[in-house]
Amino acid sequence: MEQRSLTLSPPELSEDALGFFRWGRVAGHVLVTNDAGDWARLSEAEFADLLAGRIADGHPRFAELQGKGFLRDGLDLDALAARMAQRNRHLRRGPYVHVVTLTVRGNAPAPALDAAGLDMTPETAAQVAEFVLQSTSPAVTVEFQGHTGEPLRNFDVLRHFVEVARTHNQRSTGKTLRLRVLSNFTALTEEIAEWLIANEVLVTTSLDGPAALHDWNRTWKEGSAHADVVRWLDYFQRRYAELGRDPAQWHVEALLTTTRRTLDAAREVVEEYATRGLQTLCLRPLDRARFDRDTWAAIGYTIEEYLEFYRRTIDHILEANRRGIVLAERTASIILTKMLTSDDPGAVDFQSPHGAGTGQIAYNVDGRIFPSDEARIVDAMGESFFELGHVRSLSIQDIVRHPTVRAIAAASLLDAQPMCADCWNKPFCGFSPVRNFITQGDLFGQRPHCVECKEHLAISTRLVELLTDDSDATRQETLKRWTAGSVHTPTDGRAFPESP
Amino acid sequence: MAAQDSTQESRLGFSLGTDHISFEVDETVYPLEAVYGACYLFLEKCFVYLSRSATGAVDVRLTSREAASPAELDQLAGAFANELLSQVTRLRLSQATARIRDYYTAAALRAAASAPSVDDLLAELEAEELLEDPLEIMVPWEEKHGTKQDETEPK
Amino acid sequence: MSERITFDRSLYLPEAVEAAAAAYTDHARIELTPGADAVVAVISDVLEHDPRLVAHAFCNHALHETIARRRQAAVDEAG
Repeated sequence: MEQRSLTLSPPELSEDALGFFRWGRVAGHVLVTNDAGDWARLSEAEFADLLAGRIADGHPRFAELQGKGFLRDGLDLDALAARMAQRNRHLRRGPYVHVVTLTVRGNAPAPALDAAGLDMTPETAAQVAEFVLQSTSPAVTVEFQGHTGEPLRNFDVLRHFVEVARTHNQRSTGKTLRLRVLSNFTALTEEIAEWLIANEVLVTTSLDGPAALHDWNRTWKEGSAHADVVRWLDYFQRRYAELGRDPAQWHVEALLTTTRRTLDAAREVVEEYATRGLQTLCLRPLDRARFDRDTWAAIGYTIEEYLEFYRRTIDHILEANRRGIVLAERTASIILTKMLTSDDPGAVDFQSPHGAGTGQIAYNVDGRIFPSDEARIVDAMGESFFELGHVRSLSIQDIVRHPTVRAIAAASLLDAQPMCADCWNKPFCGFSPVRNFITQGDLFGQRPHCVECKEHLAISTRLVELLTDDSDATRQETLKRWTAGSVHTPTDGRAFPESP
Repeated sequence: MAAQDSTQESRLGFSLGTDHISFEVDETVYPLEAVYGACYLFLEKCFVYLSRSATGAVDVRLTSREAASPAELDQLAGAFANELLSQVTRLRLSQATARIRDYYTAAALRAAASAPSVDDLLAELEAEELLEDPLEIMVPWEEKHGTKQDETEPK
Repeated sequence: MSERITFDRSLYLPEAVEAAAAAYTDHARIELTPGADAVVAVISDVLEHDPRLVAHAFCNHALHETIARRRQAAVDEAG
C-alpha cells in the first residue's frame, strides 16, 4: 500500500475565553449556534478570532457575540437559561395534540378487523373525549381523522365526541378546546359542512396541486377529485366570510402529498395554492417505509431529488409573496420560529426530546392509545410495540410516564445522540424515533442514514442562506412573517399530519 | 491531551489501498472521543473499522462504499483528517464549558418544569420549618410528643 | 465461507457488538466469542447479499452501537 501524509494545522483555541457553542459551514461562512438558539454567521477569519479568544472589547463582532452568549466575558447564564426554558416550555405543558382515528373504513384495503371494529363507537368516543381533557395543557387540539382518509364516514360519533367534550369542558376543565377534522371530502355533505361551521370545527383537506396532478394521485390513494375539493374549499371560505369570521383563524388548510410528478410541478403547485386562497403549503417528503415496492417505483424519489424540489418551491413561494400573496411554507415556518424567536412552535417532530406521548397522543378506533399517530400506523402494519394501553384503563399521567414514552424521549434527546450533539442545527431540529424504528429497525437509528436529518439540515441551511442574504429586504420581511404567531400558520396541531 | 498551538503543525500519515485508507491515530493528540466523533460522521459514505496495532494508537480504516480512484481516496483522507481536527476542538470546548452547560441546563429545566400543582405547594408548606410559629400551634400533637418523623429533604 | 472480525474491547463495547449481531440475524449467522481483550465475530451463511458487504455493514453497526451507548452512558452519568 502507498504511504502518504497530511499536514494538519490545528486551530488556535482559547477555550477559557468562550461560552459553549456548535458550528458548521453554511454558504461559505461559519455558523455558530448555542443551546439558547442564538446564532451568528462569521467569516473564516472571524471564526478563527473567536476560537483563539481574540474577540474582545473593540472587535467589531464583540457586542453581538457577547450578547448572544458566545463569549465567556460577560456571559449571563441566567439569561441563557431563561431563553432555553422558553424554548422548552413544552416540557411542562402536557399533551396538547390529540389525534383521534374515527374509522378505518375507506376505499383502500382496511386492516383485518370485523365490521364492528371499523368505526369508533360512541362509548369509546366519550371515553376519549374525557381522557383528552385530563391533560394539564391549558389548550388542547383534537384532530379527527380516518385511517385511510375520511373520518366523516363516522360523522355521528364525531358529533357525539364534540358534544361530550364541550359539555365536560364547560362543566369542569375550562380549557381552550380546538377541534379540527382532516377530511378528503368524499363523505362531506352540505348538512355536515354546516354542522362543522356552526360547531366551530376547523377543516383540513388534501390538495395535491392543479387538477391533473391532484387527480393522478387519486389513482393510488383515495380522495375527492380536484373539482370536488375546490368546490368545498370555496364553500367553506364563502360561508366563513358570510358569517364574518376572522380569516386569520377561519380558513381551510390543505395538505400536499409530494409524489414524483409533483417534483416537476413546483410552480404549478404554488400557483394552485395561491389561486385557492390557501395560506399555508406544507412540504414533506413521502415516507418510503409506508409503500410497497411497486407503488414506490411509481411515485417515489430520493431525498436529494426532494430537496432540490424544496429549494425551487420555496423560491416560488417567496416570489408569490412578493406579488402580495399570503402563503407560507409550514416546515420553514416551524424552523424560522425556532431561529428567530424563543418560542416553541409546538411541532413535536422538532422537539428535543420528541413530543410523542408528551405533546401528542393518538387514539385508535378501538380506544387503544399510542404516543403518536405514526406509532398507531406502525401498529396497523402489524407491530404492536408502541401500544400504551386502552383509554378505559389508563390516565394521562400513565401515558406521560409510560416506559415506551420514556424510551422515545431518551432516544430523541439531541444532546445525547452522536452527530446531533455536535450539529449546528441542533437548537432548531428534532427527529422521530418512531420513524427510525420504521426505517432502520430501532429507535435511535444511525444518524448519518436518517432521511429526516438530511431534510432538516438542508432546509435549515437554505433558510440561513436566505436570512443572511441582505440583498432582498422584502424576502427578509416575508421570512420573519412566517414565524408562528405572526402569520396564519396553525401551531397547536401536528406539524405534519398525513394528507387525508 | 497534548497542547495545541497554531504554530505547531502536525503530520498525520495514512496508507492508501485500492478501496480504502488507513490512519494510525495517536490518542495523545486525537483522543478516542474525537476519533469516534469523526468516524461517526463517515458511517454513511464509508465502512469504518477500528483496531489497535500499538498502545495509545487507534488504527482507523475507511473503506469506500463505491469504487473510488486514488484521488478520491486522497480527498477522503483529507476530509477525515479535517474532521478529526474539528472534533478535537469540539471536545476541548465541550470539556472547558461543562460546568457552564450543567448550570444553565439545570436552571432551564427547573424553570421549564416549575409550574407547581396544589399538591406540590402543600408539600412545600409541610416541609418548611415553622419559624413563624413559636408556640408550635401548627405542629401536630404526635410530632410534639410522639416519635419524631423522618425529616423530608428541603426542595 | 466465513469472515472473522476482531473487535478490540478498548474500542468496541462487547454489548454493542452483541446488539449488532442481534440486528443482523436476518442477514447472516454471526457467532461471537468474547475474550479478555476482544470479541471475535465469525460471520457465515450470509443470505442474499455480498458477504463482504454484510461484514462491512456489521462493523459499521457495531461502531454505531458503541458510540451511541457510550454517549448515552456519559449523559446518564452527568445526571
